[in-house]
Amino acid sequence: MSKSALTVQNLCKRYGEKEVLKGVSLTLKEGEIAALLGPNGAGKTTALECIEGLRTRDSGRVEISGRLGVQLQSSSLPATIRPQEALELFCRWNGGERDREAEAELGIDALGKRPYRALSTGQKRRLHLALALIGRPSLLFLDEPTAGLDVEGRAALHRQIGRLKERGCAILLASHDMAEVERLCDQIVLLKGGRVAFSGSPSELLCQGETGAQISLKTGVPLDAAALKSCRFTGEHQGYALYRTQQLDEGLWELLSLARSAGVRVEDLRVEHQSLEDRFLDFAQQEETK
Amino acid sequence: MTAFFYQAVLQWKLDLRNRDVLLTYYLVPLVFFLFMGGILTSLDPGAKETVIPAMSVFAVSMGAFLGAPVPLTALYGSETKKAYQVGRIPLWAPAASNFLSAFVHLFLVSLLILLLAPPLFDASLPPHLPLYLGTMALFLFSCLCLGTALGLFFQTSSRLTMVAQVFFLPSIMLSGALFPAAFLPDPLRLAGRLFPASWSYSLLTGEGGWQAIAALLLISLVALGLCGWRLSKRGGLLTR
Repeated sequence: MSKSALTVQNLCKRYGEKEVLKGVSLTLKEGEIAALLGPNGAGKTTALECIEGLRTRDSGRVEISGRLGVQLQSSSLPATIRPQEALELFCRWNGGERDREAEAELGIDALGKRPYRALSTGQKRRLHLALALIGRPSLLFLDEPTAGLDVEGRAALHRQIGRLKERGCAILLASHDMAEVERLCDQIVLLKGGRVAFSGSPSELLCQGETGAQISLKTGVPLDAAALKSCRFTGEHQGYALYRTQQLDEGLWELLSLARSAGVRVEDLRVEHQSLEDRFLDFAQQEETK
Repeated sequence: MTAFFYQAVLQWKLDLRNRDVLLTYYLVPLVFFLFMGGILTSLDPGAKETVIPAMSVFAVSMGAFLGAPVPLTALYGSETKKAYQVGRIPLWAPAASNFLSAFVHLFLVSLLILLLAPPLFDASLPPHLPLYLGTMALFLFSCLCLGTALGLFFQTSSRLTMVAQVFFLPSIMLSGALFPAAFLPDPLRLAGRLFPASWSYSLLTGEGGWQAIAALLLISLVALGLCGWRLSKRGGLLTR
């Protein structure tokens, strides 16, 4: 059984009167990749900064086994420092070894002697990831790691994350890219109002609440939605009426039958299965309506 | 220790690549020296005795108050601070390495003035060279303690620029480096005593005594105390 790389128990943080974290707990095992998600203001950044030690926590326990590497969402270095100098500086203070393989994968050597200020956003992000990998950390925090990266940079980063996972490195990822989360993560921790609203695998999150598919139907005249049994009218978007159904075949059959019997012409029809992004938006909307 | 040594040497190189720092450490003080040195020694032949300490006081004050704090504000007032913290670089290290780098740069400028003034303006060399250099080192130390405190206390360059002038201009105008401090009204002369420049100028011209040394040490101590307090308030340690 794999060991815990990170254990957070009952983490609380308050800014003045505002309670930002209300007892956040999470566990991350060796070789596991978890995504920390949540709408804006849910407390993701505060939670990460408390775990990283950049902010003091009011109460709770944080246990990290081994070395921690951190790539911040927004970060900078002195304008005239060169990538190799930055890596050497961080390496000397860390007392660890540079991960030359990762540096090659991330294309750090190709950055040459260019000063930090002359690097593109993507190049800077790759450099900060290489800095986080110094000393071969057993736990890595990546805050929006692919923001600003081009397609190649993204692919290289994903390969790097896969390699780290194989090595047993646990990764806590904060990202707004749901496709990335779905593809990379074993676990999702969803924060809402300073609490953990959901913790489990991406497939478990997809099965939570209302599942099924969404049918978008464009008709010349609106259909009488009250008569529907196997699907439910949820709203309108860009001229399409949106219906949610648990059983696609029955829902489609009923909608098309209704249109035909009412003599309404169907101009367009689209079917979308619920994605992780939809589930995340559902959670966020639930928060707003509360 | 090797990490800190590497950082100090790196900072020295970064300063050489930084145009703004080079302007305040080298270019402006040396151009000022060439112009004012010529003017002062032509107008008053007696100035040949004092042009080296006067121009050195100007160069060091300018570098320490207008140059040295700039990289610190850029670092501590930005995301670089966080990057260093998560990279386990202690927050005192950039301040200390910047101090050492500035010390070397400004000492070199002072040596350049010392070497160039005699052939250019027929200036007299200080009678006790080791004592002069030791005093210069103490002056540099004191000014850089204040400059470091400025860099740590101000998070934006616009505020830093304004406040740095409050230290730089009185240092030059009230120290006696450009005209004798005896000509100043008493309140201004006393105000000048708050800055290291007036104590150092009297020492460099062979007039000051132990009182001046004690004053410089006291100013340094107060500034260092402020630096330590500020760094501890900035949360320099990982809390995990």
